[in-house]
Parts: sequence; structure tokens; C-alpha cells
Amino acid sequence: MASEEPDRQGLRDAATILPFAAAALLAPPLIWIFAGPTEPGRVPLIVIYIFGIWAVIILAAFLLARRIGRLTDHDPQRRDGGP
Amino acid sequence: MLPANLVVLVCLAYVAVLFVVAFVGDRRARKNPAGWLSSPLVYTLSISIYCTSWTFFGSVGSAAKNGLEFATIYLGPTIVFVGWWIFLRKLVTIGRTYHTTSIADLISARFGKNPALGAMITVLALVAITPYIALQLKAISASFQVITFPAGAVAAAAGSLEPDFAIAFWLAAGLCVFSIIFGVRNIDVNERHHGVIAAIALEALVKLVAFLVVGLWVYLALSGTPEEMFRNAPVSLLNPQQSFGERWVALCFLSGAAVICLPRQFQVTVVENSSEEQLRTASWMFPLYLFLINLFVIPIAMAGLNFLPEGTDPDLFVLALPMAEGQGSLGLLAFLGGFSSATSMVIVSSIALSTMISNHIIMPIAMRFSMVPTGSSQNVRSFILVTRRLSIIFIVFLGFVYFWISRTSDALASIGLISFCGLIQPLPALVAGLYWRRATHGGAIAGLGAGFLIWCYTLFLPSFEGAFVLSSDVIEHGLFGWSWLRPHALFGLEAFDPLVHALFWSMAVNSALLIGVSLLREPTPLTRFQATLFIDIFRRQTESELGVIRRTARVSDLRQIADRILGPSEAVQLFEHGAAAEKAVIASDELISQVEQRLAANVGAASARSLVSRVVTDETISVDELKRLAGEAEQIRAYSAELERKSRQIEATAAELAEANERLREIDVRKDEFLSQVSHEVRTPMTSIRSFSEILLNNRDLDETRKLHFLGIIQSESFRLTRLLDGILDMNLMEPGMQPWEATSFDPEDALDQAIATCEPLARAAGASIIRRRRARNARIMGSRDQLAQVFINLISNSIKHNSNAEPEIAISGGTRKTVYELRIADNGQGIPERDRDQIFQKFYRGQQTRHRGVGLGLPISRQIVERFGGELGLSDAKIGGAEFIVRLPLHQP
Amino acid sequence: MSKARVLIVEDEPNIVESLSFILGRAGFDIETAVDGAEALQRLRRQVYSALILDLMLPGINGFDVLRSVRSDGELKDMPVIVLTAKGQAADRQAAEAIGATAFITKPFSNAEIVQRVSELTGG
Repeated sequence: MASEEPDRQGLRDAATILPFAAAALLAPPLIWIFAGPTEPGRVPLIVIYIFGIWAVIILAAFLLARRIGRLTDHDPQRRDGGP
Repeated sequence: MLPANLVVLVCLAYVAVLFVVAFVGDRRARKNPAGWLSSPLVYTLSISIYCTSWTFFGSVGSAAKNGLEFATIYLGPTIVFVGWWIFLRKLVTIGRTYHTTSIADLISARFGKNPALGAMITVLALVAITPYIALQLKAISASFQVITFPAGAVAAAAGSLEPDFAIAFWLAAGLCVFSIIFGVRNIDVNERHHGVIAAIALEALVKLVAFLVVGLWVYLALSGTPEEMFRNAPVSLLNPQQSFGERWVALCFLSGAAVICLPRQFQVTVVENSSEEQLRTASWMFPLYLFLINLFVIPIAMAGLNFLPEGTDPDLFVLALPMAEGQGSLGLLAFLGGFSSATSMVIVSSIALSTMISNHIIMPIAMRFSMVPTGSSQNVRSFILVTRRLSIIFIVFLGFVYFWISRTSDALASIGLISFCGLIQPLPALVAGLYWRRATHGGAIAGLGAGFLIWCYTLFLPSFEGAFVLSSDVIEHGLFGWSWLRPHALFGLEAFDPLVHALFWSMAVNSALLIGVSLLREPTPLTRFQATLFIDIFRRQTESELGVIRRTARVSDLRQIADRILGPSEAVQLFEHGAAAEKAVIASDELISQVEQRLAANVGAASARSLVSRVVTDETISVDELKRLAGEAEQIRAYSAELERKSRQIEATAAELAEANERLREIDVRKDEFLSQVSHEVRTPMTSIRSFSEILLNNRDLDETRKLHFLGIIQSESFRLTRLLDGILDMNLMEPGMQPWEATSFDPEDALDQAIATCEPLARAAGASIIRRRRARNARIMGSRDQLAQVFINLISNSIKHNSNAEPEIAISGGTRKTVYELRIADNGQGIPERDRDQIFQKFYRGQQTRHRGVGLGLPISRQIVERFGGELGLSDAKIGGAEFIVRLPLHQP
Repeated sequence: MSKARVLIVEDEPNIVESLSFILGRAGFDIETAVDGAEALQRLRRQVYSALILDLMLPGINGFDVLRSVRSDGELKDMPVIVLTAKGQAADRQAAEAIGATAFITKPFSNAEIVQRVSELTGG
């Protein structure tokens, strides 16, 4: 596997930023951009936006949790890490 | 319609399966505590009790009425869980480390193990949860009635049915039995409720699968094209701009706070947690669960609006749709899903609340009034177990009674959010407890009490619409007719709907009082101590490592308490591990805190402390030490930043040092060179003197002229030696900082006149003429006039001595330029060769070609003097034929 | 017998004069050069029994002269007495490394100079 030793501080920062980014994306004013009136015969854009962002946040949390897990699972015993 | 008997049978079978799962789960966990029941998957599924029947039925109802607003209830928790690193991780670690039994326990422990705080949170939770439990009972009985209604489910969902209390009663009874059997086996919460958790996980799967299957069927069979699907969609969905105002934000906040503060959520997320890995997985898997269970909410809601007759209760779409289309088995599955979500909520809520009631209300009262049975340990333990079992019955039947009383009221419909708003009142205290050292129990009590009262007044009591405590007149016009006390427009704030209004005021006043009252007084020593333990949880100090609390207790007394509460077997273990194995009479601080911690895991921190305090004869908490620790922790962040800055500084200093070293080495080398040169310069005349002296001594026969010649050489070499030594002395005087000179302001032209006068005889002897060209007017410089004259003499005499021209001429001109006095001394000699230009200012350097016998110190000394004036001495580049020296000195401006 | 011829290479005229005087008195035939270039010129034209060489010379210095002498087929065995006013061990070692026969520090004793020159010229 070509993964290098993950950047500890970078992961921590990302884990800290994620909820704020999620909140910003799901709250006004950003959400207003996608809250326009729906044309007849279409799925409302806002529905696609909210569920789409929701899925993206979950994916990001998943990737983050996996990398943090890899780091903490290896860390206490050995620092060299990579499998 | 489905036959009622069939539905009952299915329900019973399902419950039987739950019992078996719980039973097997309990047994397996006892054999192998680290088995699959501790897996992150089961942990995540147990957290999904967040999705109650209110989710299962209510989301669709909300979507049909209000569009996307239902999503807020799940987006808030999503944000909290994906942000686990910031808050949940700390909370869960504290709970795991200090064997917290409930949210009331954690907050009371943090604020000095304050019993009042624990009791307050318990009462608040009980008040806020009772209607919520009633809602679950109502949901199950209603859904049972709908799918078994003889005239068909659609008719049942459209009309308003008289609630069937018999169903609700038997349901409540069954839930009590289950909760008591699997939830209260042992009083130690740390022996986790594996059986219950296993059953809850199964229920979580059932409700998810049920909802997904129904949703998928609706989507495939009924939805059609987007145009068909959304033809009856509410305006709030088609033109959603209005949906995303303060209510959207408030609901996200409310639900995010609720997923932390609800007693049942705290139970499954914090109390039942056994590793960080569980939380890490739940951080994405729980949001994923929420996402999936909401995926078909909109299709089902839209289909309900399209296919069911107007007036059908949207909360029952999930059931009514399959029934209306003749899909009886799907209807049964949907019913089971709702059943699962309702029962799991009631079970965990009642277990969590019963622990709180027993630990924070009954135990403190019993201890206060000496009602705790004395005697054998069995008595005490069974007393606690009985109180918990009774608490469960009390809680569930309180919910039932509430349901019964409010039968005709619509109050239940909106009770979910109202309940949330009450239950999140501990949030400010919780957050402050985890991050703010200065928070005191006084602040927590004041904030919590005020928040609770505001919630009751502005949201909870008005929800009865005049039927309970507050009359409709008060709700309309305010208490005592004061309009600024209107429950839905406190202080005239009318901009918000009642929920946002209540949330705003309760949270604002709660937080403000928490902060304000905390700042009034110093925290008590114990509060400070607990703050250090909680806030610095990731620094991994144990109580004994901190060594702040010093207590005295007899081992036998401690042993007695441990026996009574923990049971003899665990007490033996504890005391064997502890220092008491040495048969000490007085217990160590470490043993006392160990015992207290074990007790806390059973009866809560506050009761454990009061139990231990009874046998502790002397207690001191070193406040100074605590302050130091707290200061240390707070400084650590600043310190590490400081460290980083310092290390950069150190690097810079090291570079500077290296540079200085390099300079010193250079100076050292130059000094060695200088000494070696001095040695050479001294030895040369000495050689002649010695040699000729020996010749004169050893050769008496020499003729007179030779003798005189030799003596002449000796004399001239002696003079040379003297000059040399004078030069070296001057040189040393010039070394920076060696000798202060008397600085006066003077005209450099005066010094020049003096120098020219001195050199006049030399010039005459050499046949050279000194020509004064320009003179500077009114130039003043600061320094020593004699020294400057010496420099000029040096330069002029050099020009005379080294001038090989047949008619030597020295031209001198002075002038000022801006702030500089400039003097040029030019000769018409052969000039200075290119390669010598840099060398002539070095010590002991004499031109390669000249035979002149100077000591080679004149120019370096002159340059040093000029530099001491702050000026510079150099050679002009431009001069063709001959050399031109330039002296530049800064003018003195008085 | 013919006098042994000695070349003195030194830029200080007083020292040249004193050396010429004492060595002349001791019966040597003396020639002088004031710098390295002149010394090498003379060495190429004449055969000398010994060379007295100052190290600090303008232009081609004493070390260079010594190196040339030692690399020259005919001159390489000629005795060379090195004179120096620096008297540092490093100079002495450097001079011996490139083939100085004797090393005398200024100020010298006249008797010592005469004795060393006599020894080296076999006189």
C-alpha cells in the first residue's frame, strides 16, 4: 500500500472543521441558493441538495474515521505505522 | 384490515424473539465481554433508538405538512456525530473513565458531586419524558387500531378513533416486564446491559428494514414520474425559500443538542460505550442510518397525499398506504417497524430514568433519613434494585396515565419537539462542565432552574391549551394580564413561533445565568478538582496522580460500605488489589478514591461521595495545587505555541552564535597573524642590532669609520624598533572601546592646518610642494582634534615619502557635501598598483615594490581613527597618475 | 685552497651587511641577492657551497626558492640554511619538509652562523 504516515495534525484539523463545514452547508444563507421555486414536473432541487450534501458529509466522516482509526490503532505500539 | 388476533400473535412472537435475543445476548456477554455485542455495529444500532415512532410515523406526517422540516431532526444529530472529535469524544471518554451512570450523574459529579443538581436534572427529565413515552404508547395503540379496523385502515386513519387504552395498558405492562428483567439485573451500570442492547440493535434493524421496504414499494409502485409524484406536494416543498429561516436553524440546534442530552441517548452513547472505536464508527454509521431511514420519507408522504383521501392523518401514511393498496403483509411489517421504534425508546428511556431516579432522588433521601437498610449487603443491594424496578413501573405508567388524561387533546402531536426543548436544558452546564474551569454548581443550578421554568411557562404548560395549570386566558394575555409575560411572546418578543421563542429564551437565560452566577463565586475545592479531572481528561491523570485530595479513613469502615453496596465478592477483590492487603488500619488516599469510584459506578458520584464521607474523618483539598494544575493545563496550549516560537528563536540564536563564533575565529586568526607579524617586525631590527653589536664586540681591530657605520646602523635600527613599538601601542589604543577619548566639536580644517604645518619640514626636505586647493567653510565635526591631525599627518607624509616624481606635488582640498566633510589628498607619484589597493590598509603591509622602511601601521591606524569618527578612509578610483586618499567624516549638527 | 662560495638571499640590507661581514671574516666568498628572482638567477649561473635563505622575501619568497633548488637536479644536494624572523614551529616544519638543511631563527648569534656554514661546506 502506498499510503504514507498520515498527517496527524491535518487529520485533527479536518475532524474539527468537518462539523462546521456541514453546518454551514446546511444552514442559511448557503442553503437559500438551492431553495428556489421548483419547476413543475421536476424533483425539487432542494431535496436533491439536502440529501446529496448529507451523503457527502457521511462519506467524508467515513473516510476521516477510517484514517483516524488507522492512525490510533497503530500508534500506541509503533510509530512506523504502515501495514 | 388484518385480524386483531393475527396482529397480537405477531406482536407476541416478535416480543418473544426479543426476549430470546436479550437472554442469549446477556449470557454471551457474560462469557465473552469483548464479543460481537461490543462491536461498533451493535453500538451504532443501539444509538438509533433516537428514531422513535415519532420518526417512523411522524417524519412522513411532517413532510406531508411542512416539506423538508422533518430533515432538521436528523441533520442536527448528523452534524454532532460527524463532529465527534470536538465534543462527543471528550464526553464519552469522561463517561467511560469515571463510570458515569447518567447525564444527571455526570453533571452532578462535575460540579462537586452536588446532589441537588442531579435531582434537578432527574426531575426535569421525568417531566419532559413522560409525554414522550405517552406518545409512544399512543402511536402503538393507534397503529394497532388502524391495521385492525374493521372498516379498513383508510377509514380509521381518516377519522378520529377513540384511543384503546387496553392495548396501551398491556403494552406498558409488557415493556415494564422486559425492562425490569433485562435492564435491572445488577445495580452496577458498568456491567453493561448487553441483553437490552442486543434486543435494541435487533429492533433498530427491524425498523430500518421495515421503513426501507415500505418506502421502496411505495416508490416503485406508486410514485411514477416526478411530475406525478409532486403534483400534490405542499407549497413548503415546491417553494421552500420560507422553510430555511430561524426555525430551520433552531430545529437543527435542538435536535443536535437532544441527541447528546436525552437520557436514553446518553445511556446508549456514553454509559454503554466501551471503546473509542465504537464512537469512531458511529460517527459516520449513525448519520448513515439516519440518512437511510429518511430516504423514502418524501416519496411516502407524496404518495399519501396523492392516493389517500383528504383528511387522512399524515402521521399514519406509512401504515395506511400499504393497507389501502391491499398489501396486508407490508402493512404488518410497517406496524412492526413502528412497534420496534416505540418499544425500544420506552425500554431504554425507562432504564436510564430509573437509574437517575434511584441514584439521585431515592438514594440521597434514603441516606438523609437513614432509610437505607443496615445489616447484610444483600439487603442494601436488593433495596437499590427494588427502587429501580419500581422506578421503571412508575415511569412507564406515568406515561400511560398522561396518555389516558390527554386522550382527546391534540397535545401529543407536537410533544416530540416540546419534550426535546425541555430535555436539552442541561446542555449549557454540560458544555461548560467539559470546557470551562470557572463554572460552579451555583451557576449550573441557576441556569438549569431558570431554563426549566422558562420551558414550562413558555412551551410545556401552554401545550395543554389551558387544560393544565395555565388557563387559556393566561396563555393569551400573560400572567396577571401583564402582556410582557405572554408565554408565546415573553418581553414582547413576537417574531418567533412558540418553539423557537421558548428555545431562544430558555437557552439564553440558562447560559447567561450559568456564566453570571459562576463568576460571582469561586468554585468549591471539590468542584475545582472535578473540573481538572474532566476538562483535562485526555491528559490521563488519575486522582491519585493528582494527589490533591487528602483523606483519612479506617480501612475497616471503608470495607463495610463496600461490602454493603458492592457485595462481598467485589469488595474482597477491591481490597485485595488495594494497599489494604498489608493489613493497614488507615486507608491510603488511593484506596479511598478507588472505593469511591466503584461506589459511584453503582449509586452515582454524589451518593458515593456522601457514603464515603461518612467514614472519612478528615479531608483536605489543596486548592493551591488545583490552581496550579488548572493553570498548567491552560498554559499548555500557550506553552506549546511558545515552545514553537522559542525553537525558532533558538534556531536564529544558534545561527547568530555560529556567525559570532566564525567572527571570533577570524579575529583569533587575525590576532595570531598580527602577533606573528609583530614578532617578525621586532626580530628584524633586533637581528641587525645583535649582529652588529657582536661584530663590534668581537672585532676590536675595526677601523673607526666602519665602527661608526656599524654603530649608526645599530642606532637607526633601535629607532626603528622604537617607532614600531609606538605604532603597536597606538594600534592597541585604537582597538574599539579601549580608551575613551575626549570628544569635542571642532573644525576639521584647523586639524588640517596643524597637520600641514607639521609636514612642512618633511616636504621641504623632499623638495615637495603642498598645495591647498579648496577649503570647507564652517564644517564642524565631533571627536578628538589631535587624533584627526595625526591621521592627516600620516596621509600627507605618506604622499611625500612614497612620491617618486621628480617634482613631488601634494594637492589637498576639503569640502562639505550634505552631512559629510570630505578631504582629498592627492599626489603625483606612481600611484598604487591595482593588487595593492585592498592591502595597503592592512597592518604591516608595505608596498611590494617600495624600499621604504615604514612599519606599515600608518594607514591601518588612520583608518581605525577615521572609523571611530564614524567616517571612512579610502582610495579614489578616479585618479589617474598618483594616488588620491579620501577622508569622509560625518558633520556635527549642534 | 679556493674559498667556499656562499649566497646570501635577504631583503634587509643591514642584515645582508652584517652576514657578509662575519662570513667574509670567516673566510667565505660571499655573494648576495635581495629577492627570490635574483637568487634563482645567480644559482643558475654559479655553483655555491651553501645558501643562506631568508623566508620572507618580496616577490618569490624563500619557500619557493627552496622548492626550486630541491627540484633542480644539480642543486638538490646543496646545503641550505633557512633564516626566519617568525620563529614559529609551523614555519620550521614546513621548511624542513621541503628540504632545508638547517634552520636558524633571527636574531641569530654570529658564531652560530659561522659554525653552521663551516660545518655544511665541509670547511
